[in-house]
Amino acid sequence: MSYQPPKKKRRWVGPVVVLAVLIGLVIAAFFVAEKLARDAAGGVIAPQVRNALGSTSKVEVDLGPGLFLLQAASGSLDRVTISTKGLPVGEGSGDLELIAHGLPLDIAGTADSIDATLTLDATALQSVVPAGSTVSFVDGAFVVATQADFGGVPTPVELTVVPTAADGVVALETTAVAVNGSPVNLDDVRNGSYGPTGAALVAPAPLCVNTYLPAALALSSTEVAGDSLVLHFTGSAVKLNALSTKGVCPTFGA
Amino acid sequence: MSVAEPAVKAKKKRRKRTVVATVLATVGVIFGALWGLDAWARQQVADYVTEKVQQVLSLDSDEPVSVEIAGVSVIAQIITGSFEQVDVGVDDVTLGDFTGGVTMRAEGIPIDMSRPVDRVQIEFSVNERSIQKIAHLLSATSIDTVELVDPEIQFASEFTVFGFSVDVGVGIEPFAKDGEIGFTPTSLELNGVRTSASALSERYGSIASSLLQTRTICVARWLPEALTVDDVAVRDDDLVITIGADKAIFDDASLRSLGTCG
Repeated sequence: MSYQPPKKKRRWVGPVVVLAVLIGLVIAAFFVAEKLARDAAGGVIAPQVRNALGSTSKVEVDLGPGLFLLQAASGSLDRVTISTKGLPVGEGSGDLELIAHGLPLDIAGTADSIDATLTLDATALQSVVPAGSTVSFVDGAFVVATQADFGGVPTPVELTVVPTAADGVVALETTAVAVNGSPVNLDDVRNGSYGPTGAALVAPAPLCVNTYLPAALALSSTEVAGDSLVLHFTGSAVKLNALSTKGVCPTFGA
Repeated sequence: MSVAEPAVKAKKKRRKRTVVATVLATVGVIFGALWGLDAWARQQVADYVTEKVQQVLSLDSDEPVSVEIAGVSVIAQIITGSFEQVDVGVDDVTLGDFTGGVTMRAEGIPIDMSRPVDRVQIEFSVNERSIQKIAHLLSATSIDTVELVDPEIQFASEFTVFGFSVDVGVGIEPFAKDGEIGFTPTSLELNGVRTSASALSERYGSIASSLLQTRTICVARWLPEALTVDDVAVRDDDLVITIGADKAIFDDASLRSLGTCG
């Protein structure tokens, strides 16, 4: 009787065990290498971002949830979040968060897009409000409390200002005025009922922070959130080696 | 004294010699036949084992399998009902994506397979290239090199960030314990500077220990209960996985019942 091989009755478990050992080894190594590589890459990216921004504060780099080593092998990272606190902006400071999509690991490369969020506190607005004013935030706007000199009489004035993004700068539009605690007609103030001092107070005064950020990022929207003015910037097809070039502010007819 | 006496004596002597020669020749023939029979039986057993091994490992029939049956007489071992020791070796077995060697030593193998085998030890040797293949298969191109450096398996990866080249390396030591196989990161390398994992743990405490956690896989649940992974270690240029069994019965029923991890 000739020998008949059994029909695919694989009882031998050797390959399973060998494969389990090999896969286990690779996974264990990959896991550790991934963490090491993340730390190392973050350590390279952070100082370069700090230099580009001219910041002296600590820059944190989050390389996103995807596997870094796999992305590094492909040459670009899906999503990288870079954040720094205390970036000097005018007389105050702001917190900046940059989210880069499709960030190439080659400095000569181009990122698909970079979104930036700059969160400013009240002190950062001091440059655009009269000296000695206090700024507080309300729903969707901020209130500037100041003293105005109307014909030699120092008078408390409160201006409600709404920020909006227009032509790459933050347009600050006064939407309400209160003199001595009483609301007054805004058009009257504009038209000179309170003299040139009053008209100057309610004149639109833009805020521009472009000189603190890369030129490749343009202001797209603004909002008041809590006790902060939040500015959103965006840029697409951003060349990385151009990031250290800061933006410019238009000269306002002041 | 007769004259014929010396002639008789000589005749007797000759007859004696003839008997001795005949006996010796018969014994020689019997031994020769026995030896031949034994060699034949040894070959039969070896062929059977070879065929079984080729079948189980899905080898081509021309793939060399070395089978050695220990002991003076195979027939004697068959009569006593068990083989002392059988060694089987296959140099290059290709199993899917990897190539390795397999050696098996079985001691006290009963002819009746419903009785336990005293000891079975199977060793799988996997070379560096096979591990590299698996690494590439699992992680695309992100692990560049795999090296076996006794007692570690060292993995390395290189990438460039903003013009800076970064090399990371991880050394892993495998082990086997209680049905599980484990992997302990034992060394780390960053841009050519190697640090032992224990030094890192001492310096960075809990942050490092989360990085350097030992991971385990329960392999017992894939193996027949009787078999355990005794050892996983780097030996020279190979990763050697040893599976063993003591006093185990290798019949269908016992092979079907799988193990658990303790």
